Amino acid sequence: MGGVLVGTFGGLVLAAVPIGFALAAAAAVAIAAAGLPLVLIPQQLIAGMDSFPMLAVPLFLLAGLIMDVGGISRRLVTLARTLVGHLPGGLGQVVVLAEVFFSGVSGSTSADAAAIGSIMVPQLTANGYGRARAAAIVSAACGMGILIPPAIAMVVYGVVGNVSIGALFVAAIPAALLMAVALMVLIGWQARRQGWPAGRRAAPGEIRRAAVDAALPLFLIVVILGGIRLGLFTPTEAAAVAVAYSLLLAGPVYRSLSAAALGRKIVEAAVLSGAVLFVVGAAHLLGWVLAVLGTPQAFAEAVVGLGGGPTAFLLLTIVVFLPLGALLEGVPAIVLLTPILLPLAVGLGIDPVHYGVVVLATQGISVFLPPVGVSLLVACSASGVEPAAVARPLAPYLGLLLALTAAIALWPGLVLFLPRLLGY
Amino acid sequence: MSGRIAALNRILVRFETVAVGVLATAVCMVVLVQVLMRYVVVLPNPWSEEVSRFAFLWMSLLGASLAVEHRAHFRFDRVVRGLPDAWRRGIEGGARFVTLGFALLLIGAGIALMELTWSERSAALGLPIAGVYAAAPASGVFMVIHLLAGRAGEGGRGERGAGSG
Repeated sequence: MGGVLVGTFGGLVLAAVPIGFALAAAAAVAIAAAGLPLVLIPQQLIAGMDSFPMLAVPLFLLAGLIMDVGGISRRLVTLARTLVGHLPGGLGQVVVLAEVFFSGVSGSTSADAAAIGSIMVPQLTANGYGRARAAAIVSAACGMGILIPPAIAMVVYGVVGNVSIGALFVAAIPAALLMAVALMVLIGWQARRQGWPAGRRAAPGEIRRAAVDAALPLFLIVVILGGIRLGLFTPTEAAAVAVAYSLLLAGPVYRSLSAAALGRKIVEAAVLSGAVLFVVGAAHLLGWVLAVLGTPQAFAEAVVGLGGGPTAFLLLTIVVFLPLGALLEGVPAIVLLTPILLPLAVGLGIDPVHYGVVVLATQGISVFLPPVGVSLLVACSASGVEPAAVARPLAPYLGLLLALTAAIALWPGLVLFLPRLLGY
Repeated sequence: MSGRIAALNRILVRFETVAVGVLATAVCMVVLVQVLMRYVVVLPNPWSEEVSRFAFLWMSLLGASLAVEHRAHFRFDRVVRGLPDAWRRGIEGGARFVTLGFALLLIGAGIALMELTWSERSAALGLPIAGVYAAAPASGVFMVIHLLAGRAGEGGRGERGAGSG
């Protein structure tokens, strides 16, 4: 039965049924076939969304959207340019560093790809990078950016796996920085070989001005992480504070947000959240049905039957999540698989925070996996290239990120030292 | 007939847009008030968690129906787009039919769930639980009208969405 369900769901997805509806329809078929009451459908759909921490999803999305109209992405790009624009492959380096900054004020990978892509791709192409190369660099940077808090996927993993969202936020930072540095080194090496131009070195005064300009937006990440760590507020409350802070910046401080634009952004955030949470609820519904049918137990037994210790299990996790994330978009894969795989991981002695960072890092790569990753398509439409053309320039970047994800899986200390240091 | 549905659809879209905007604002304000009250008034407030959660559920389900109209639901249409036109239209019609079927199910099962939970009250404020579950059939009704009004099911952009990273 479980196999039939998964098959039904796969067929519906291939037939371009929206993913949330495909999950829900497969679950509905199973519920009807098993003779269970249909009221379980709306009940479990809502149960999957109904948790206070989940409120952080629309709030972080809204904060990110306000930050973007507030001209804040441009300030962050300017700061990145003054800091690393003079390195070999200067503009490529700027993309990576700007994404580190921007991801810290935004919760969504695709929003990052759209914001950074729309600013940086025209500059990259004007400076002799091909369009496909430009899209590849933006995609790689945003794939890393999923590990910079706050991130919607971290909130969802935390809720579904009952793992501290605050601990996940800080645990992912060293992993993200490692990936960012590695990407910058790779871009620098490619630049030397291919002769990509470097920008001029910014004068200390320019750097200072850019830093002052970007200081207020960047302070938001301190407010979020500091506030959660000090117990001043929960992640959901931090997200509401982030909305208030971004409104203050875009409104009275920068005067770049009209009331009408704000109204549009609020509705946009609500619609995007509706799409995300419908998928979360539908994935919860299908997961619940599969659990009733005993599929996870069978799956778990099969996985345990494979043998191997924690290392093999972590590598298997990467192998399982990679194609699923590419086909499904990150969130449903997390909602469906976390309740099955996380208990097995904990049983093998893997820390749930460490496991989460590995899952999220894999997710970041998978949504940019050619030819179908959802966020890759956003980056491609921002750059005006076909996803197929990006595959070749993107391959070394994704390969590097994948190798680092495996390294993170093998080296728990890298992600666990910071939350331990901070007392999570 | 189709003109009337289109007119009805326009009215509903306007209503949903205002509703999700108000609900999203309410969620944010209530959570902020919760933080402020903790530090300013130092009183426990049993209502804010429940009010914000219920507003959030309504916002999410109406956001989901509005996402049908805006074609903002994640979908994977690479395979379908590569097919000959006749095939593509046939499969897209089928996909629309599945979506419509689930929306109808949401209405029927949602109303049944409301009847089942009619007398239940929430823990903190004693709000009727059926009032929260009502969001499911409401969302289903909006989805059905959006799908029938047509824009939502037609081929076109597809394969876009919020991303979740």
